[in-house]
Amino acid sequence: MSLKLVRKADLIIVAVIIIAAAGFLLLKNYNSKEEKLIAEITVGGRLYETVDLSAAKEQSRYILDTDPQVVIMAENGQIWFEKSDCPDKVCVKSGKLKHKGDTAVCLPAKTIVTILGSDLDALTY
Amino acid sequence: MKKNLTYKTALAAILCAQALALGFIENFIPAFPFMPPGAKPGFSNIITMFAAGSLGLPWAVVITLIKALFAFATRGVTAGAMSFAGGIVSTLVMYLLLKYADKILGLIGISVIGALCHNAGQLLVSVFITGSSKTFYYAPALAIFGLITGVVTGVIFKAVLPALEKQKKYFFKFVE
Repeated sequence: MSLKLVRKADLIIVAVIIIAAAGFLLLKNYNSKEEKLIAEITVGGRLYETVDLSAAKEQSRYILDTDPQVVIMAENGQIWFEKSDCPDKVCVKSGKLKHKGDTAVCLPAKTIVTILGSDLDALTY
Repeated sequence: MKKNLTYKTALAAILCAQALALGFIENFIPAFPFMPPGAKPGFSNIITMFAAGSLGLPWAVVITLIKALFAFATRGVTAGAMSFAGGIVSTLVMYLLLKYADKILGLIGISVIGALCHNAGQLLVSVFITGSSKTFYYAPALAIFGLITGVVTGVIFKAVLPALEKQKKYFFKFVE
């Protein structure tokens, strides 16, 4: 194998990745000024619960009977994994979701929480 | 020839141990603000990259499998599946690039592509596990993170290559 650290093609690859990722992030945040935010909880690809985050002023708690068990909380336009019995706790570490497109995943429990805007139908169907 | 295989096995075992040790050290690096949840720097890629370029594909695959087995034993089925999926894709791609594209790409380019392939393999498995493509929301953040760690591992790879070559020569000096 050749041992050169940087070649011209490397710089092109780096530039392309930065532009592509920045483009996606900009698109995601483009119309994030939605007043109506809806969170979707899916388990194993099936819709488990739809939570209207703009309506939910009070705290709501969802205890999912997945294996491992996860607890999801919603309050004040935010939704998050409160607790999980999985070893990695990636979902809990994802923190509180509050913007459109924010996603937290618990792979062992096959559970995903995503925030969608009011253009819910256009996104999912 | 048979003797050669013995030394290669011994060297591969040492490389496995080094890959696992690097994976362990990673746990002590604190999470920084923009790091996607669950993402890791992937320093053990330095070892798989060396194995792919210097020992050949079968040995690189063996090291990847043992890494996945270790993740399975210590962190469970999901971690094992993720380690396997990411590892096998990135090892294969890095092997091909080191073999056929080493005059076009530098070590940084190969390392970055390897990191992104690792992410891509894991995203595909996550779609399989969750039955939903929503995990792809992570893709842009993972791409940026993979880019940074890819550059870092590429630089470290170049720096430790003489030591890895020396280690390899140590095992192979018995062969002649």
